[in-house]
Formats: sequence, structure tokens, C-alpha cells
Amino acid sequence: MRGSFYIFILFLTLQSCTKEYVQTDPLTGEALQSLTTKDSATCQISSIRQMSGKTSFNKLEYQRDNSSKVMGLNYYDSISKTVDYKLSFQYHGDTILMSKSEWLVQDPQTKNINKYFVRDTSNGILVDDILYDYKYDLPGKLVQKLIYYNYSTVPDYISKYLYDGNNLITTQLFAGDGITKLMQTDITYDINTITKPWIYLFGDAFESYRFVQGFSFGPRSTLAVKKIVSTIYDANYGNALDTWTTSFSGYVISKDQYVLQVTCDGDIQQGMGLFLGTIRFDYQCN
Amino acid sequence: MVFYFETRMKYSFSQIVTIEIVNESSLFMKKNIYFFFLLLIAFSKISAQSISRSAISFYGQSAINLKATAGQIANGSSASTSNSFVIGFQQPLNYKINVGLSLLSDTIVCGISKLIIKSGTCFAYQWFKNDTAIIDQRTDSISILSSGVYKLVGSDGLNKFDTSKSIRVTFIPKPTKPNLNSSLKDTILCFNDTIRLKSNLVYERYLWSTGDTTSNLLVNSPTSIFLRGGVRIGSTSNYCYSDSSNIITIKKNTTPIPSLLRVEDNLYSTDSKNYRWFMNNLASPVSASNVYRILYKGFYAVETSIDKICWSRSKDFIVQNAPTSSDQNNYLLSAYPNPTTGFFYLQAKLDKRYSGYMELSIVDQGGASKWNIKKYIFNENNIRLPINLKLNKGSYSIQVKLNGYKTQVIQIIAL
Repeated sequence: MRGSFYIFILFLTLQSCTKEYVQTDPLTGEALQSLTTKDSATCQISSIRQMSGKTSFNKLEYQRDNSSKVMGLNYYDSISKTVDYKLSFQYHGDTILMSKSEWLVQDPQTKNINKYFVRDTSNGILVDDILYDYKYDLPGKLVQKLIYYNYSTVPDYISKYLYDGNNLITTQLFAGDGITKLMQTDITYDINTITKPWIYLFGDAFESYRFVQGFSFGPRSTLAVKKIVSTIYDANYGNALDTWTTSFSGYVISKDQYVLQVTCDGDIQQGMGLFLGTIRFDYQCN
Repeated sequence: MVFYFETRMKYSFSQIVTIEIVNESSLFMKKNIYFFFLLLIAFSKISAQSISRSAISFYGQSAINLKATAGQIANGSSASTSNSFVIGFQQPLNYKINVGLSLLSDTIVCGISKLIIKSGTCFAYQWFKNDTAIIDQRTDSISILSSGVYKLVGSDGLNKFDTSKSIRVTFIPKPTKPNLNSSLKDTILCFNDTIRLKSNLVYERYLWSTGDTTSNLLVNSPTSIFLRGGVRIGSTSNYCYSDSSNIITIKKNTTPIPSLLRVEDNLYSTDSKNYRWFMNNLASPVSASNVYRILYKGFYAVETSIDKICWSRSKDFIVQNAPTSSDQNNYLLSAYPNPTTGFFYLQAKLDKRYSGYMELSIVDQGGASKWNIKKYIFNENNIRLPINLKLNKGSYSIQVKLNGYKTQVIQIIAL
């Protein structure tokens, strides 16, 4: 009797640890397959689509060449039915030009992006020249982002990134003093659902969320995300202005562990920009 | 050459005697000799006389034939003429050659364009650069204008020669002078507790006017400072230094650090005499008073000064919420999919980026509120909010406000 009880407990434990994989792709209605049969192949995101049933709404699309290098991106707006945002990337040595006043710098060895410059004209007649300086640790994880406005020699904002292994768990955005907190994003993972390196989950990627998934900013998380919570603070008085909470569920994962679909519920994470509702991921494998 | 002649006067009172020396009928030298108050010493058995010796020096390399006339030459009667005498000239038979140089060893010269080397005495001189004779360098010194190996061959004039040590002279230019703290001109800098001075250029050696040799200098008291940058001279421990940088005068800042307070859409600085305002690190000409009108989201700072020389800067004041009264931001509101089965997105496209609150309320046709939410928008101009509601079939109004104003309404159909 006692033995049966332990077997039952073991069964329950195994059940709770077993990931409930979706066997059929809800988009195609077909059984899930591997994206690639080549062991040496890697797959990179080629588009991110917002879905309603089988209808695709907003779509971010990366144009990649045969070596998966991103040559351009389009952001399709489902309301205006136009390409709302379009970029092409021109590679000149370590510099990637997007326009005369917008460029990236890529580390020649690691391929990590270490600088991003943009002339922000969105404040009406005011123009701000903003330099983002991405700092990596020795293993190549993004640990800090320094933001300089108008050629200031000291940073005006500082972001810090904390990891558990290669999985980002906290993003903190501070004023330039490095003490006054403006925002914090915390990520909870499902440790039982291991994926291929998926997406970047920097909660403060306001400047880069459209192109961040096309380039290298260090390792990507390899666990399925369960929840993301961001808290926005009043910089001058310290009180919380708002909290954005997003739950991730309904993962559709290929047999070779690429995330094909996920459903985000709750608030949009504005620093990640794209992920709300049901999101579909397409890949290019080389 | 120098020779002496002697004139003797016997039993004479004070008088002037003129001596003329003639060389082959030409006047060679004329000299007045004054004999002073010579008394006749009659009672003495000693023969009284006065003697004057004069020196004559002259230059030449040939013999001369001289005779002297002394006395009161003007009237001729009391003058007397000496016998002729010859001063010969002879080539030195045993001239000593000294080719010792004023530079004892190889030399590196920093920052100057000319170096003079002097030798010991010889009869004749010939200087060489890199074993090639230098035309017209036949004196006991040479002005060197370029790098090379120099030596001297000296002679005694009688075919006897000696060669000096060969000296390598290397000219190196001065390093470019530094600019302190990115300033070309002499500048006044202010400090509260300390200030760090930095060179704009990298050198092998730094030499501050204080004697410090660190690459940058932390200063904590009023002073004036300049810097020279040095490059190492060869493998020696010596350095060739640049000219002095601009001079930085360090002044103690007595202006207190201002602080900022936001009242509605204005920022107020603590009181001072002079004010400079900044938005996103850009100096703003909008205000020179203690009040600044906020127009945009961003970070603001004020600098205040008592004397317009030393300024103190406030901490950045971060304006996260777009101002309410001055904002001209228009927006286009839409919802999709519409009709909806319950889940839909609300999208607001703004003219400019917006930071602040967006309030939504959904009411049914009877005016009953179904849902209210207030979300903070972080610097976005394309706001998309997901709305997941179980709405009964019917028509609903979604009312949107930005920062409590600019109300817009959109209709949505629930299926």
C-alpha cells in the first residue's frame, strides 16, 4: 500500500516536470516538425508577426542574405496597411549604416553590437544626438548600456543587466548618477522548457526593439519566459508610476526547440515593443 | 703680436712727449706719453730719470721695419729719432694642434635648430659631416643645423694633421604641446572639492608645472598650472619636452549647488545671481532667470553663478511626463480587429513621442462603464495597448485621454 503511494507521488512529480508540448501547430494544423534536419544549421528569426487566429496583423520582417546577415527590415502596419518603418543596413568594416544620422558599430570578433547612434528628431523642433554604448563582460554578455545625449562626456542614463547563467533576469534603468532608478524589468522563466536561443528580452530596449532581434547583443535566453514585470519609477520622487505585467503562455515549439509561437497577455512591455497578443516567429536556417 | 718699447726722459719736468713709429715712411703708430712732475734731484748723486714703457700690439704675418721719433715733434727741434729696428715674422715651427671638441660624446638635441661645436686651437681647420668635407667650415667652430656625424681635422700649417673624435649629433623635434582640458587658451576652471586636469595628447612623460609627472593631475587648491609633454631621448632616461600648454587657473567655486523644483509645467531654481538652463545637455537660451518653462520630456539642469566665472550645476531633473498645457501633440486613434470577439488592440499614433499617462474607459451604449485603465506611456509615438475583455454583443465607446486631456472617442463593435 505504502509502495503504491510512493509510485503515485513519483508519477505526480514526473507529470509536473514534464513539459506539455503542443503536438500540432495551430497555424497550419499539421504536426510540428524540426525547422532543419542539418545538425550544423542554425536558424535566425526572419519575421515576427502579430496574429489574430490565422490572420497576421503587424509584422516585423528581417531581410537576411545567404549567411543570415541582416540587410534590411520592414515593419508592416496592419491599420494603415503600409510599411510603417523601413531600414536597410549597409556594412562598412565594423560600421553598419542605417542612414546618415543612424549607425551601429559591431565588434569584429564577437559580432556584438557595441554602439548605436541616432539623431532623434521626434521632439518637434528639438534635435537630440544620442549615443548608446553597450558594454559586455568577458563571456560576452551585455551587462551595461550607457546613454549619452548631445555628446555629453558622462552618461545621462545607465542600464544594468543581471543574469542567471545566460538567461537575463533583471534590467534596471537609472539616471546618469547610476543611483536614481527609472525602471526595472524582472523576468520569470519556465525552467522545464528549454528552447534554442530565442529572443532578447531587454526591458529597456526602447531605442532598438525593432532591430535588436536581428543582431547580436550577447547570448539569448534559452528558457521559455513565463512572466515579465516592469515597474516605472518617478525619477525625482522615487514612487512607482506604473507597472506593466505580461504573461507568456501557449508556446508552440518546433521539434528542434525553436519557438514558433507564443501568446502574451496583459500589458505591452513598451521597452520590447513588439510582443503583445499572439506572436508568430518565422526563421531562416543556414 | 705684441712688443714693448721704452722711452726714457732725463732731468725733465712734467711734459707730454709724442712718439711716432714709422714703418717704411708710413706712420705705423702715434702715441702721447705723459711724464709727470719729475724733479731735478741735484743734490743727489743718483742720476734721475723717468722711464715709460708702452705696449704695441699688431696683427700680421710678415716682417716690419720700424723707427721711432720722440719728443716735441710739432716744433721738431727737441725731437729725436731712434735707430731703425725690424720686427720679424716667422712661421710657427712647432705649432700645437688641439682638436678637442666642446662636445665630448654623441649628442641628441631637443627642440632647437642649431648647435655650435668649438674646437681647441689649431693653425688651420677643416670640418667634416658624415666623412665629407664641409666647404667654408675652416674656423675653430661650426654651426650644426642637421643630424649627422661630425669631426674636425686640424693642422699646424706645416703639414702636420690631427683628427678629432667623431661626434654623432641628432636633432629631434619638440613634441606638440598639450592642451589642458580640451582648451587651447588660458582658462579659468573652477573646483568645488577637487578638479582633475588632463592632457589632450599622450606622451611618454608628463611634466606639470607643479613638478608632478602623472598623466593627469588632481588639484585641490587654487593655483595656475601648465603641462609639458615629453618623448624619451633615445634609450636614455632623458626626455625632450614640448612647449608649455595653455595655463589653467584653478579657482575655488563658492557658488552653492542649485536644486530644482517642478511646479506644474515650470521648473524653479534656488536663488542665485546668474542662471543658465540646459535640456538634454543642450544649453537653452529660453530663460536666464530662476524659472524655466517645461515644453518637452527630457532631463533638465540649471547652472547658477555668483560671479559668472564659476558655475554650479544642479542634478538632472528628469521630466517624465509631457507637460499638459503646452503640448500640441495630436494623435490618431484606431482599434483592430474591429469588430472584435473580445480581444483587440488599441492604437494611438502621435505626432511626437509622448511620455505620460494614457487613460482609457470603455462604456456601453447605455453609458455604463465596462472597463477603466490608466497606463504610463514611456516615450512612444506609436502606442498599442492590448485589451482582452469579454464584452457582450453590441457597440461600445472607447474614450482615450492623454495626461487628462485631448479626449478622443472611438467606437468598437463586439460580436
